Amino acid sequence: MIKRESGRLGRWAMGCLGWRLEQRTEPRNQTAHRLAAIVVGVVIALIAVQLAIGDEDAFDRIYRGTVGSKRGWSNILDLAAPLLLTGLAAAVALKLRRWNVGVEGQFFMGAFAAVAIAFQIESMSGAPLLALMFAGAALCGAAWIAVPAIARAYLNVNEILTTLMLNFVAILFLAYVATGPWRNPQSQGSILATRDIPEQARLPGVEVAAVEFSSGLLLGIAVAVVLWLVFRSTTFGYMVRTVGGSEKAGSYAGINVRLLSVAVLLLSGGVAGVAGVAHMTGGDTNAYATSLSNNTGYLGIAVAVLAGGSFPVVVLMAGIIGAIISAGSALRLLDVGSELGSFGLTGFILLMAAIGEGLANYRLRRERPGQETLPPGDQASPAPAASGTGGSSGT
Amino acid sequence: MELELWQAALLQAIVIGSPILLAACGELLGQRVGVFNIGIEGVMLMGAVGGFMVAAEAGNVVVGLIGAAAFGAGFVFLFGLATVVLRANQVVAGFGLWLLGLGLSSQIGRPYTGKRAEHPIDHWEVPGLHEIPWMGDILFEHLWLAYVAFLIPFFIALVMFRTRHGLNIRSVGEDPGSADAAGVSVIAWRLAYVVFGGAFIGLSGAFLSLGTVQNWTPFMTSGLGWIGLAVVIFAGWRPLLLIVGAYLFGGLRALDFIAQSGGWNVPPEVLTMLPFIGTVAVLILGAWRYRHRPDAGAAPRALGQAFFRGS
Repeated sequence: MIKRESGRLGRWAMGCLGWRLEQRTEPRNQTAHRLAAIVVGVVIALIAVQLAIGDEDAFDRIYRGTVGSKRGWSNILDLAAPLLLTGLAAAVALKLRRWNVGVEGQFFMGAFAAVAIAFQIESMSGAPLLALMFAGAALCGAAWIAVPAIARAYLNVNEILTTLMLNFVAILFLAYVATGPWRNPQSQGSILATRDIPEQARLPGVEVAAVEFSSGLLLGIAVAVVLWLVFRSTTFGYMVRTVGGSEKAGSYAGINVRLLSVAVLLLSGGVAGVAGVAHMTGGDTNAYATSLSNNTGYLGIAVAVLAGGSFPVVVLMAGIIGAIISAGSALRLLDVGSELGSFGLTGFILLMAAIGEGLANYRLRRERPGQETLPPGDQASPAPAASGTGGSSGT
Repeated sequence: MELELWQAALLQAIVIGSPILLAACGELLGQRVGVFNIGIEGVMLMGAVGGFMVAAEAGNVVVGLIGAAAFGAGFVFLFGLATVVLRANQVVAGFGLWLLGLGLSSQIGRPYTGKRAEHPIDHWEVPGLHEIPWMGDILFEHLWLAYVAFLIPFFIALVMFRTRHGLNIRSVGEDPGSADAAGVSVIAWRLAYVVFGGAFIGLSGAFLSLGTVQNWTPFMTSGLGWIGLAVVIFAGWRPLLLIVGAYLFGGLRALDFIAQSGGWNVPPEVLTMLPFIGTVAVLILGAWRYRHRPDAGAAPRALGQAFFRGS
């Protein structure tokens, strides 16, 4: 069977040039395609910036706002720190082909637990208090995904839908808490915030080569290393890899797939909770506030996907997305809204990456006129459901 | 005109519920053919800004609404191209679409921010009916687009469950392999219906910018798109139940405002939370009901899955 369905019109147009888009039996080089797509996306975005602004100043601004200055570097690192942790959270779930779309909500609930602990025992000294806050945040983040995790494992309820819905509940819960007894009397307008957490419960800043950044970044890297080791060299990690490859193979091997699925999602939620408290104690916002997350949870999913779910690559990708966002905000003073910079650019890159991954399913073939080429292996194994939600959705 | 509390709530339920209903109809069309458009909020914003701009430039509200539908459809076409034709991952591309919509709509709408809509959608008092005491002025004095929104689910249900065309729509979402074998072009049907749905989502944005709010401000949909997505799931992917879900969720959101102004003892956030908690509960209860029949269930079975011939 010849597999090609790139649309009649597109096929005709390409056919005139002697080319044909042909489906591969198996997606090839997804990582390379994804990276190429990101590069293409950035180039298109730069061209668009040039066309829209037509100002030599723009590139200079982008350069100075990102890698061209110490301040730029520290911007990138501060943006990357929360993305790193939320990215790791989403990547944990991806190991089992689960989608934790609720990172945003778990992020907020983690920060909530930390703030609650900090306000209850304000007098405690720094290190033990921080330790308690982090533990509480991890538990609270895990608790926030518990219902979707159990429903997914035992009732096959699509976790994309349930985790997404719980995000909005978490954000409304935040609004409730931040307007309650812990309210910061100074907070105004659309930003709701509790009062600041006590001074001793803040993560210290770090300075390397005159570049300042939050120690949350170091924590994120440490978490990445631990996760990498755990998933690489423990029995748990081995089980996850087996089940992630094929759930059937996993259950034949005697693995309790349901329990493992719950455990992995709880771990994912826990990491997301840690991301929340790390950002709150280490970042600019020292309170439980709506400004705590600038869609950090959703961008974390982007980071994890762009990294192909690999923990070391998540570290790199968090930095790249951080750089893209700070490049976007560097343009704010020129006639570009910060929304376009931070959201639009990331969204565009994400869309490009998805397209790149999709293109890995195809190859371009030269077609000689009058000769119907039948590539070898076309009758071979059926195409797998690409890395997508394949096999994981359907309630 | 003094309104009783329940009257005000009912009125607001329809005012807020109508754009939700339009968006939910659009999302339903996409999901029924198996495409999970998670970028609905961004599409709605693009429709809102597109409709506002076109109406302002053309000086005509109908042209503006057509513009909104075109903006929504065109924007979703990008998504359809990525996910349906190139089989990109729907969740990733959807989040990309959402963020792109947030940023792009704020940017292109900049010259129009804060201006009033000169040519808004008119109210239409249903002749005769709007004079009914108690109910008339609540149910029959709305924007004309609200009545259209109310009728669309009936039309969708009619086509989807009573025609061969509708059978094809459902088959593409339930079992694309069989549909393909029966000669239905899965790619074409999916692309067509997800884009068609995008037009409705775009219209729902214009319902706000040209109807209820009558101006354009960035992020003006403030989560209504997500509620639309929740409604589709809450309604179990059934078109007629969309009406119930949309007005119910709209009403809960309206109660939020009323509770705030009325000084109730209920935290307004709790009421606003209910749609999302209810949706999760409906999902889980539905799965519990069908727990012994893994093939049954409300969701289209191929939802979120790319179609590869031969797989």
